[in-house]
Amino acid sequence: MTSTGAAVSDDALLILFANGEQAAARDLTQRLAPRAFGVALRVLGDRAEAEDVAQEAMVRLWRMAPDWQPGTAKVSTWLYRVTLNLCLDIKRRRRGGMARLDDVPDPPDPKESAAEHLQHVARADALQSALGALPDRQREAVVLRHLEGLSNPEIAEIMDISTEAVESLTARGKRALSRALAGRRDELGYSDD
Amino acid sequence: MTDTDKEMIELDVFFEAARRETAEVPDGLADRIVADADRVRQSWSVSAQKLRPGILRQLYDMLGGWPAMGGLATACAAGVWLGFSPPSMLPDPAQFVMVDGTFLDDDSLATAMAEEG
Repeated sequence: MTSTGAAVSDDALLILFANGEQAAARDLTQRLAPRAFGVALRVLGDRAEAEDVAQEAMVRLWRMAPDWQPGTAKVSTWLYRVTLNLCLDIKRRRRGGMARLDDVPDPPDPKESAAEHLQHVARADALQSALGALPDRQREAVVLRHLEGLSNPEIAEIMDISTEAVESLTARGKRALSRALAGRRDELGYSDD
Repeated sequence: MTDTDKEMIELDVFFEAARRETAEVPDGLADRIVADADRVRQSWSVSAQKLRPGILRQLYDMLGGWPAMGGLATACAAGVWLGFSPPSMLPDPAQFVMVDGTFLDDDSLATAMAEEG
């Protein structure tokens, strides 16, 4: 059985899966699992928990497939919403600090020197620590807007709030991040960029 | 450029670094997700097999399906027709319950039946 290809919409792939097409599950996994995992990792700051959340969110997607109404919403929007809800459940349970992303594997970039790579890792780690200090809703909005690259209306739909509320959350979140990172300017070398 | 603009530009450096650091799905996660999909899909076919037919369907099957139901409907229709318009060789059923043009009340009918019995 061959892959169904990139031109097919998420909607269509989900319907194909509901009709028994296992290749559609592989394609959807390839498209959506990195997004669910990425958001969960940024929101939770814990790799093992992010894996569990991504897997559970995808299981819920599979179970929901027969009832999916094409055109009513984007599959990715639905998945982001489920992922954030699962993250929220975990955070409610633990209510502790966020772990650092020390165990996140560093993708090799042949064009990047070792020193540059270390600098990127340090910046990403610093950002994750600062994100961990934000209130949950601000962190979710900042992650979806600036790390996942979603539009404000799409974030509004995922978080079930108005577009204006999204703008307010991201603005306040960025101000807080900026304050948190300002003291590390020399350490992280971003005044040179 | 205001201080706020400068702060936002500096934040972009961090966002860019963070986007570089997280994209890869861990080894084995995609395989587990696809295996879950397969399990969910198989559970649907098992559920469909276990689904019992409804009571009407069971009755329909018990009677013998559509040929039997056709015969049953025809027999019912014939019975209703004979009730309304009996052949001349059969007695009028109304005579059993009417005396001198009036219907027997329940007690009279019971008395008549007791006398005959």
